[in-house]
Amino acid sequence: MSEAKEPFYTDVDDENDFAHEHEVSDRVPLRHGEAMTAAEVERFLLAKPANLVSIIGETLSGKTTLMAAVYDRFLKGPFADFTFAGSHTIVGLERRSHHSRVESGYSTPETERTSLSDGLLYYHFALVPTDNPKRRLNLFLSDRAGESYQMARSNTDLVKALPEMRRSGRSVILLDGSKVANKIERSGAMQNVRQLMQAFLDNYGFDSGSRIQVVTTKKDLLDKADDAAILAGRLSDFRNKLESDFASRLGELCFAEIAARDPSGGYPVGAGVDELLRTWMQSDAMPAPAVRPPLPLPSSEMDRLLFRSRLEEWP
Amino acid sequence: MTESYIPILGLPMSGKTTFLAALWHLLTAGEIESRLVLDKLVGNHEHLNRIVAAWRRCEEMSRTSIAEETTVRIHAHDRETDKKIVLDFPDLSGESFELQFSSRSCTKDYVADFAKAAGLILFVNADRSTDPLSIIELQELVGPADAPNELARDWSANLVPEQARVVDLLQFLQEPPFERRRRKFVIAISAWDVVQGNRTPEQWLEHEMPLLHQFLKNNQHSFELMAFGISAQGGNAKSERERLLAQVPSERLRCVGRGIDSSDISLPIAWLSGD
Ligand SMILES: Nc1nc2c(ncn2[C@@H]2O[C@H](COP(=O)(O)OP(=O)(O)OP(=O)(O)O)[C@@H](O)[C@H]2O)c(=O)[nH]1
Ligand SMILES: Nc1nc2c(ncn2[C@@H]2O[C@H](COP(=O)(O)OP(=O)(O)OP(=O)(O)O)[C@@H](O)[C@H]2O)c(=O)[nH]1
Ligand SMILES: [Mg+2]
Ligand SMILES: [Mg+2]
Repeated sequence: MSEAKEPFYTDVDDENDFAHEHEVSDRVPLRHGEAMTAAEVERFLLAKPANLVSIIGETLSGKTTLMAAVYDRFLKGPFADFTFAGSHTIVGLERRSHHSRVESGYSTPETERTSLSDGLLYYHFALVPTDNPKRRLNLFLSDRAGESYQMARSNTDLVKALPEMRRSGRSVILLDGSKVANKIERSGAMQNVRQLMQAFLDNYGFDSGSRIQVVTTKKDLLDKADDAAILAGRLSDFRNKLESDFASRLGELCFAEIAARDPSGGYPVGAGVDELLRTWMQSDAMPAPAVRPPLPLPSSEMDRLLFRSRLEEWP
Repeated sequence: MTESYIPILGLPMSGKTTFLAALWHLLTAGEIESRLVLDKLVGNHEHLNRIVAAWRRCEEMSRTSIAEETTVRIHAHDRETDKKIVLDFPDLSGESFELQFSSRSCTKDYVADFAKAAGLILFVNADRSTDPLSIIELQELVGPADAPNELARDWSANLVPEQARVVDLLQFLQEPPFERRRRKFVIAISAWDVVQGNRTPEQWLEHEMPLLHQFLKNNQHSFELMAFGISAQGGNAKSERERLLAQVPSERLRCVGRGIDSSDISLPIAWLSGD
């Protein structure tokens, strides 16, 4: 396996994708199956094309649940006009799904907080469109602790330590529906998303090539809010303002609502996520090997990224 | 003469040993006409004879331990093509596959053996509890939980649903150190006698193990798929023992798949070892 030096990730270790140092020496290490580091994803991309989507949002906004909901749906069958063809991160996906299952002993579905020390992790899905069974597409969804985004919003020097938005073909920013549903938290949650976008735009996190989806999570809670009509108005004002202030500086800006896991069961698992998944699988969610500052790429690496073939037919 | 090495995969209690015992009975007893026919009785059949003795008494097999793993060899020929075949089956322990998944490693022998494998069989058992329920699904069944449960359990590899583990075991075979090539692949759904209605084995798979079904459909460049429903014991060894004991042993068997419904459980093996 060629050990490419990672172009823009500084927080990577030298792990490869295989488990090692098992105590029994006559055993052969196999793929670890855990969530992948940025370095591992880069290595994957040298061999095969994939779509990269970064999932961004503050603590408890629903990033991990969103990714776990995609997996949950494929466990039960085809989803969003795609069928499951494999995953390099089954163990990682299973760990994240654990707290929503009965065996975990919890009585309401929970997602474990993602820890800061995990850094940036990616989950992998190989998917096949139901209407084109010969085509096989790879998707990586990023996940990291929401604190990192909160910190970058407050101290914009940290934006450059978050390479995923620059690398991915699409970014999803989550607006926490449980806060929006709450009169006290509502305004703060919206302003935090706005400030985050501004910080990313002003510090080369986003640029005129970025495709951004602002997604309100936990829509089950919006429905249940006692001032649902007022809430809807505030949300729509908020979106219009983002649109008028930022859309011209971005490649694309759109909005969606999801209920990745409604604990009351009113919405099916992954409600609204199917629409998102469809957009993530479009060819414009290919990683952006963009020449956007600040990217100190050695020229050989740059060539490699620029000349990588577009979506290939399988096999 | 060709030699066919046929690895048998499956988590614990998936029906691997029962199948081998039943196949050995079918070939040695000559009670019914089967596609594969025993050619000669040479070699060490200690393990086969031990498991078949239990099978004839309609007893449940004991779990195969990792220490007990052996390879059995059967000399046979194909009644239709007259081809002579030497079949080598490892009676692997389901535990060794659990360990493979949880330790993310396998034995050197497993890798070496796969290099000579003609095809492979994967067993999943139709007679067992379904995959873990999500909490939301449970609430749909029994209503919302009132008090938070303090007995929260940590994640462990053994809590991963069987279909996800099996997908990962198959994914291992698609990358180094395994040779990347297309393999004939039988998915055997054991204890087929418990399956209700007129479902085909593929429909069962699609319904009961949707992730595995999607994976297999989409990876036919690696696995040339045939699904069979197999009843190697004929019924439940505890509750239906009297009925089973009353039957001619080979007539307890059932093999269902692609237009086949017969007692001949050597059919999937004939397909795997054919050209
Ligand atoms: N009501 C409701 N709750 C949800 C939904 N989706 C997620 N949640 C809950 O929201 C909480 C936070 O979700 P996470 O996915 O862990 O959030 P996160 O963004 O990964 O948080 P960090 O890891 O801390 O950054 C969990 O308790 C989830 O159960 C939903 O659709 N409806
Ligand atoms: N109803 C029914 N049960 C069966 C049949 N075949 C096997 N079983 C049951 O399935 C279970 C597993 O059988 P084994 O053959 O021992 O499974 P194994 O894969 O060898 O298990 P390990 O050795 O632990 O890896 C036992 O409880 C059998 O009684 C069948 O045809 N019908
Ligand atoms: Mg998280
Ligand atoms: Mg056994």
